[in-house]
Amino acid sequence: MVTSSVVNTYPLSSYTFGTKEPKMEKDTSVADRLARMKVNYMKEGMRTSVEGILLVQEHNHPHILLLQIGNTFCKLPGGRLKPGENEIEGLKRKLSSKLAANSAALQPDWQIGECVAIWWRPNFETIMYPYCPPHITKPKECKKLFLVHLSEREYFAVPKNLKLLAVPLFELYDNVQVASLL
Amino acid sequence: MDPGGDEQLDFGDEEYGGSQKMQYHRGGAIPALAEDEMINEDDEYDDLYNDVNVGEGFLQMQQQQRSETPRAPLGVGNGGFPAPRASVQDPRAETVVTQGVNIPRSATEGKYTNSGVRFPDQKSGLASDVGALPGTDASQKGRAPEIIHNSQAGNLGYQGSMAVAMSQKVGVESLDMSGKVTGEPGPLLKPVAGAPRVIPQVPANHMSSSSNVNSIRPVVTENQVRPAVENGNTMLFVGELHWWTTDAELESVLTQYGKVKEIKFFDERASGKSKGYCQVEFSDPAAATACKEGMNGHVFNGRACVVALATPQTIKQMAASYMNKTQVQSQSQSQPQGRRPMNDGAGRGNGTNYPSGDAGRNFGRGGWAGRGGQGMPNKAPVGVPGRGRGTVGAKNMMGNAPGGGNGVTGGAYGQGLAGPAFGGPPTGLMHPQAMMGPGFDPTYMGRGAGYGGFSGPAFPGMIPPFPAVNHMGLAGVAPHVNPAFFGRGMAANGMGMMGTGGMDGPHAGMWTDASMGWGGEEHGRRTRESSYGGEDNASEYGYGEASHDKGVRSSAASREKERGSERDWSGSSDRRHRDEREHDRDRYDRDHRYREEKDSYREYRHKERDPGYEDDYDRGQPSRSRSRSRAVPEEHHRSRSRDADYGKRRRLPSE
Repeated sequence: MVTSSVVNTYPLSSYTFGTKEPKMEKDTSVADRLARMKVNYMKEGMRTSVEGILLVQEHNHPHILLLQIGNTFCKLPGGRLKPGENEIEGLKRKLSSKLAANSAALQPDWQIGECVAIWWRPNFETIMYPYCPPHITKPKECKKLFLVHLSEREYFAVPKNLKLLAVPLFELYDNVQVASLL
Repeated sequence: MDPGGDEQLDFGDEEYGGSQKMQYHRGGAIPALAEDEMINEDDEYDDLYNDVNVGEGFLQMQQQQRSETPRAPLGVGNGGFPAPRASVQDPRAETVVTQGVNIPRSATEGKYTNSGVRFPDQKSGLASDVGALPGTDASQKGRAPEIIHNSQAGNLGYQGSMAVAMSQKVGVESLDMSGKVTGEPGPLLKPVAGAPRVIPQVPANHMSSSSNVNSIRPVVTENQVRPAVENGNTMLFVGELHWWTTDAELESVLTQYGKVKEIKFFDERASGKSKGYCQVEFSDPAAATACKEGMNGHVFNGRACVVALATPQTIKQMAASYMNKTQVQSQSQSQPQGRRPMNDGAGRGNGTNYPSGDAGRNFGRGGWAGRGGQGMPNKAPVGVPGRGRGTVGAKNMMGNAPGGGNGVTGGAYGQGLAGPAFGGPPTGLMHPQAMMGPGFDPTYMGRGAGYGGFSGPAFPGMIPPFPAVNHMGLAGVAPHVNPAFFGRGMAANGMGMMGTGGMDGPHAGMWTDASMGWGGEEHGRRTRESSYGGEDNASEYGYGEASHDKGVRSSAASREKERGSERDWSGSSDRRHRDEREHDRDRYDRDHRYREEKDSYREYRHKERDPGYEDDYDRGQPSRSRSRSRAVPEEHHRSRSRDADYGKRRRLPSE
């Protein structure tokens, strides 16, 4: 894990983007997702998920790499940790799963930085808060966001059913729609 | 909670009565209750005693029962019960009575014992008593009915919803017990004496007022543990919690009563903060009822909670209670805008619905969403002065407010409130000028203010309100408009007549209606009846949908009276008649439109339209073709006239 608090960002052009086979969502609907979440909660307890914030620089403004599913829904690369898995390792695993090419040779060496945000899900619902509400002692999910220090050159392979977007920060600021998915 | 309790009781009663009454009243179906047939006959009288406060009479009843027990305990019970039942039910109105009634009818003492037994389950305090009861079951059997009454009453006293459960339980149990009980009519009344000792505990837990209940409760012990079959309700609401009272704390207490399936807190969505109430689901209904009895009033973090069976009413109450608390707090913080005293209005109406209900009114036009929260306190004052006016005012606000609101945020409220005042003096809150701009003629505004205002000094960003609504709101102020403005002779042409121009057509009708006895009124009425069909006439107005709705509405309103005259309608196709009809219709519409919103307009229209046409068909063939053909040209007229009206309207405000 990179401990430096300085994140170097590079222009988008310094990265190469390829494609790979589609990575389908496990759930077909929100209801399915929540149902599956419930099942997993019963089995494994609170879910911990991790997401990585990958930054690039464009037009002298930081952009965040988001994966777009369909035409509307965007999310950060990351996912659920296996029970007992270390957060950093888990995030690396997830990033590779989502963004790295399949061939072992081109696996990026993910430099995971510090945790910048933690979101809590108090109930089996879609809403999450940046804190655990005081009356909730058993949150259903805890999501941690980590900064990822990208090196100057990287090769990303994006699943065919997803689009990788570089979203400028101003698009995310005060944007309820986006905030909800974070 | 009593009112809520009453509601619950009634609610429960319906359920209970619906099912159990069926069983019991039709006693013949149940062999064990065959002897109850006589009693069943008395059932009809049970309701009569629902509101009887027997009080001391209760004992008398018991004595009567005792004397009569040899004959037919149940029968006696029925006769006697209504009275005691009434007394028992005092704390809880009808439902208690009903249940009491059911009990004697359907169940013999055994049934009662069950209910009695239930008490102990629910109340830890009663447990000891319950233990004592079994020993006296036999003797208590005679008592059971009474006790059950009491116990049930007590239950009812505690929680309305519980009553339902209780009654149902009792009903079921009674069936079972009836066989057993038959042999023991005598001791019916004896155990009563023993009951009192149990009762005190119950009231302590709940505000049960059932002093009478004291008498019987402990009796039924056998069927004590019978599972709650009443309605299988496993959901409870636990309210009056602090926002920091955690689910773990709650769970630790809940598990004492049974297996908890799920605890779901109600939070504020925006922040995740707890609203102070939650929904608890037990795996077992008996646990739920036990918890309801036992945990109600339990202190969590220094605050006593409230436990209620999960019904739509209870959740509303909890939400209302929460809203009241938060609104009172928020209102005290937010700018009063001179409406502080009105803030009570927030709690005045249905707490939960206050925001939504009022908001709905205001928002009907859209554009108010942001203001809803604050708008409510402001609205309260408007509503207070006069309901009719207030609502109209609300509508005005809808029409006008968006315009005003756009310009000013806080000030918008004042303007919005001013809306109703347009027509006249109404609330004194108004500053018509503020709304429409200086120099705007208030009377003019009253007439077609909404309309004229919009077409004239359009507020930037104003959301064009639904024309129909506008008019309605405006119509509300109509009475204050100078009648002279309109002149007589509606036939002359409502639209042109009104100085303000086209839009006045509908308004004119209303105003004339409201104010001065127009000769044309009667005429209008007649014609209106004839124009029952509605849509065609509406088209004349040029308001398009709005007018259609209005016409339809009026038609609906007076449909009953107009049915007979539909034939006339089919016959009349003069435009003049139509105009008159429209006016009349508007009058009617005004009466009915105040509280309608866009969607409701449409509903009316649809409803009215079909029947209207059907009637035509029924009435006569000729009319059918006529109506149909008429409809087509009408539409053309409508569009044309509408444009004309618009033109007129726009001109006027600017003049």
